[in-house]
Amino acid sequence: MKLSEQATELLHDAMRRNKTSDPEREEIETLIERLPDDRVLLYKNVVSNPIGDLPRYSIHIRLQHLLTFTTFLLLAFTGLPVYFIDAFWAEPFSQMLGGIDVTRVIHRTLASIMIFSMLYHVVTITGGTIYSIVLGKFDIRRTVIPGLKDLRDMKEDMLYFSGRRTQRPEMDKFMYKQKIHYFAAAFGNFVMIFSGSAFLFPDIWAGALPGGWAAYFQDIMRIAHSHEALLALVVIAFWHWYNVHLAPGRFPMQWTFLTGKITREHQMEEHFLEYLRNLVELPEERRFLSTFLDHFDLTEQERPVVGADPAPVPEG
Amino acid sequence: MNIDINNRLHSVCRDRWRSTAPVCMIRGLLCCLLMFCGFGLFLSDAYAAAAADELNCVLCHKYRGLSRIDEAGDFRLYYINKGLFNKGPHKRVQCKDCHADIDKIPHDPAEKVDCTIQCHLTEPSGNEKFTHKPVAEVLAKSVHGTVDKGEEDVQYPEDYPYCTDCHDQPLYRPLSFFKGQAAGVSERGLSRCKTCHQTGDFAEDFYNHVTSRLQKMRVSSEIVKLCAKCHGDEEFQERHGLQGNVVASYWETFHGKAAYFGSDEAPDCIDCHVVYGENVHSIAGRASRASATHEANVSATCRASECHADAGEQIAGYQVHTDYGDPDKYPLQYYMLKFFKYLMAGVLYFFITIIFLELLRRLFPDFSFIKQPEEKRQSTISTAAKQ
Repeated sequence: MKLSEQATELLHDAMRRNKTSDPEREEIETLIERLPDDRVLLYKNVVSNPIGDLPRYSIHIRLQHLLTFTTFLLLAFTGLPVYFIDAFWAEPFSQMLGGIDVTRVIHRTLASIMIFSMLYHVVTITGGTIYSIVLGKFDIRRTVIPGLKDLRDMKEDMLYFSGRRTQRPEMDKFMYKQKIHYFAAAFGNFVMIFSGSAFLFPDIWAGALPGGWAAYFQDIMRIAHSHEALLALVVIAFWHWYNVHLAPGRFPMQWTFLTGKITREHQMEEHFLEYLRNLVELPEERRFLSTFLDHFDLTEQERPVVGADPAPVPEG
Repeated sequence: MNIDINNRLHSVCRDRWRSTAPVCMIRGLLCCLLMFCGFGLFLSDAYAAAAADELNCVLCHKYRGLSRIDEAGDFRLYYINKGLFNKGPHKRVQCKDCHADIDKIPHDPAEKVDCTIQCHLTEPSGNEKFTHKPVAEVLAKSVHGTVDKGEEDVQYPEDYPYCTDCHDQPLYRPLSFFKGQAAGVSERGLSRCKTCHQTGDFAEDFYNHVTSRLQKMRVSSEIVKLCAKCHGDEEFQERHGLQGNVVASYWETFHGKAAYFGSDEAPDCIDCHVVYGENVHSIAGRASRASATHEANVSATCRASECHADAGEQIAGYQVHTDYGDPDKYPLQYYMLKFFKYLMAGVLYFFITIIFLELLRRLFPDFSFIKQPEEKRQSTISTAAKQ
């Protein structure tokens, strides 16, 4: 496979950061040369362990996800009947959870756990970033910070989905979808905590706000809290659950959130640039790939040809 | 037995039992059947009520089927449940004290009871005969009163509440008594009183008299529903030039939502609209300086010791009766709701479009929205084959 200019640059950067020795560099470059140009062939045929092959999330991130999604769902369960108060299910459902005087306590308790989870996350990523900067391994492309590349990736991906490209774009550890979702969640978290505080501490807010503002503040927060929650629920139900649970090949779920590992096939398809880094960082992955390529002649595999442009020659 | 219950029943029945004659007849027949089957049971109740029933009114009114269809075509029930009556506030009042116009048995249709007449009880702190007149006077001066307002005659006097419009005690609701629901008397608590007050029912009566005023007799949602009988009626609001549907907007608030779900602590209409510590009957209109919701008093009302005691002055600014559908009065809230609706729709369509495209490509890899010309397609295949 001939790497695009961008991928080559990223690979060399990764090798430099990892202080990869010359024989290893040679090994990596030979391996990459042996890869088929068509990545679809690669990830459709590569051997993968469904519970994951390559490291992706640390135990901290997994714990944060567990805390966040359990509290999120229960917060939604205790909050929804209050918003949809007229619905036939609202009162029995709220009663089932213990009645309003119980669910309000549950709601606040869970909220504090969710806030803890958020703070835990901030500490983790800040600490992790500092640590990798100290080690000289920090690469902003490997973070969730969005860049122009994500817009290009999204456009290319849309063209792929609508049949105008034969390959998906080469994406990094976090693709555009994940970045959208991450910042939606971060923003949502902030809105929910901020507006929630308006209901939990109306007295304090009343003391802190200037006169003209108090009139609107509570109303604004009330609208924001419920609608942001609904928005989050919609995003989770349609977007997140599709991407990690329902998408063909992913059903019933990706196990990354438990094992912290991503399948090789998925890494090659959606996070190819991260896979290149894996090759640099993990000698055992190089050994695996070498053995795999020895035993499979990918060029002889059949690949459905879509009536569309061939893969654009990688940029440059 | 006090016949004034009948009048209360009349008003309740008028509201709740408005039905056609055949249905009433069937009900009447059923009641008669019940009456004869359970005659012995009722008889035992009759003795309990005998003390307050010198005229023996329950001789007739003990029958559950005692009813008729009045001139207006409404079903009227005249049954008195003696057990409930004897736990009520009027247990020591004679029927004739209130139904003063009845002077023969069997009697003609009784007039509506006037709660301000003197009854034969003596008010214990003075030595005067008891009457509800002082309350009626307070009520008359309040926003709910029809006199002494210093204005022109009120319009629609029939809309203004009479005692029984709010005091529809469970006692006076026919057929709504439930198993195991007793008046709030603690036998253990009473035993302390009875050490000294051994004669008669004094301890029970006094205990009831005091505790019924200390306890919250209705949950918040019941109070709101009571006020909503008039204030939730749009025609009523229009007749009296009241602003918006205050009941609907109350239910939108967290106060309202907690009350709706049956929370006891949730503030209801009375908590905010009656000056803290004052008589409910003295409730005043918002424009009046004496009103709890007058601009100058809101902050004090919110900061009552049981509520937002620690809040700053600005809590008075919090809007309670917001009509989210009114862009003229509440533009910010209105457009913010609009914004969230469009945002929700936008996000949904955006995601669904991507998901749809992705699913299409994943499930039908050969499908393409935009078909390539045949030659180009062939060249594509050959290019791919070369690779």
